[in-house]
Amino acid sequence: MIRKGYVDAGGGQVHYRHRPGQGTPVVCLHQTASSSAMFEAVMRRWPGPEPLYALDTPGFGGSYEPDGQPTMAEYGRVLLDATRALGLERMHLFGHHTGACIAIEMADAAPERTASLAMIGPVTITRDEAAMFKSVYPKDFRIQVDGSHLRKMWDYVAEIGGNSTPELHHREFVDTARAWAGHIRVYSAIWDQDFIALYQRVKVPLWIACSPNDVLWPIFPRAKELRPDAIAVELGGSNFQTDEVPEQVVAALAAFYAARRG
Amino acid sequence: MILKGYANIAAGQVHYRRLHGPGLPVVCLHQTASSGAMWVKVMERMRGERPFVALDTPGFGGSFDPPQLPPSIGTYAEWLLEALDALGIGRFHVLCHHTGACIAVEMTAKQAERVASVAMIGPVPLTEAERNDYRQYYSSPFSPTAEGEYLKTTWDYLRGLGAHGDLGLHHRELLDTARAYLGRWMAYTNVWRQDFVPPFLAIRVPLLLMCAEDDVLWPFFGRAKEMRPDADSAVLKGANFEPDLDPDGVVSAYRAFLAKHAL
Repeated sequence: MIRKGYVDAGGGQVHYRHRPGQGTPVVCLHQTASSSAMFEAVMRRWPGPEPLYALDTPGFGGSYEPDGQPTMAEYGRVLLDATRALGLERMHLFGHHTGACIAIEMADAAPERTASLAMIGPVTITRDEAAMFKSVYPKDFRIQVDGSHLRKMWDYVAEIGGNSTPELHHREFVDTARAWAGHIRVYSAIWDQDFIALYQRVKVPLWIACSPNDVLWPIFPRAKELRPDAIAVELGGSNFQTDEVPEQVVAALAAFYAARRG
Repeated sequence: MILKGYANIAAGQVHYRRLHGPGLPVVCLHQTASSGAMWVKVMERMRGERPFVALDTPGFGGSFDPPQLPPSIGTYAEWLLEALDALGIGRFHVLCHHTGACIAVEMTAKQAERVASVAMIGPVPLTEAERNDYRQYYSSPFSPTAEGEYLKTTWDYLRGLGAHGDLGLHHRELLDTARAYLGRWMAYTNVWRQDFVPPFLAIRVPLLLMCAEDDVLWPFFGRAKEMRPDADSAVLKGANFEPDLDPDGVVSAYRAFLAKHAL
């Protein structure tokens, strides 16, 4: 049974989904511009015993709208506060794309609370690549009187592979439209993050995964080279693995946690 | 501060917005296909005067999706009464809009002792022939299609209802309507099945009727007032989105009603 709720953190209420369990909890962080809904298929299939929490980043899903322009470290701090308010002491962090960028900030800021760090699509981009991405993102998703932004968002979700089923396309559209400003905020901050520096210094056990059709696949070999100690997994799907191949995600991640339990 | 949360009932989670205050709570019920978000402006203006709870009807906003078409509007009323039980709310006032009014009269019919007063924007005293006529315009779901044209259809539909009076409102209603494409179909199917008039006539507590002249239910406002000459009434602005487009008008009429009846 997945239950939704709110917890006070940062400047308001952080919305989350929760599946109960036993032991060290897993905290799931979504990509831009999804929400914790992207982890529902994984949560439903999760064999346990770990409890699962999936948080909506501020500006996305059911969470509050942040003031100003947070840095990635600030997003991390708010979500660390949210996990504390949920009563979580030590946790496994599991982030997807932007969620990985936030999770690595959390692992860096609170290593003593981080049991492991799992990332689908680690964002090991160089400064030059970040500058290139910055010229393409954020998209101009501002609301237009004539409704033309709707088509732009619908097509964007399709371009990044969110159209494998009409239900997924619809859900991702709704999340993207709800988070039009969140998309702009995150993609204004994310290219300033030095992910590689964080990635090289994080000391916790690492699990990384990607798919050949993921936009971040070209940099996945670099992620493996930079951290040969990381367990690396190739998944199917595109940028929506938790919806496209939830069984693969669950099997690989559950095995990683089982090994940690010894 | 308005806080959001969930009330857990047997069928699922009912999402709400809550504002604390003194006295008997005001329970707000939204129209199709909005959510409790449509009451935020009214709640903010009445901060400190009353406690408020704006519920998302199942199938809308953050609430659970009914797994199949509910058998009647009465089922929605039962779910929302159970949600109020879970929130520890006994007696309450109702402030409701369109479909919210259809649910409110069923709540009152089921548990009259809990309802202290009823204030409705856009009462729905339609004849069976009129309901059959409306059914064809307000029943087909705007279902997702591969091409995505349902989004523009929804956007233009909301413009037709007057949501374009405010771009933020138009966007919010687009999100709520897209999220509730099935919930909208379920609710309207039951709205056109319901005979609103008997439970409307049976209300024995103070009653306030409100409507805007450019509301789709304006043609029935005169009839509602004739049926209930004892009711207070007020004419608002704001098409079908009075609480967003004329929140001061709503608050002014509601305050006067509560004061007149010493509620």
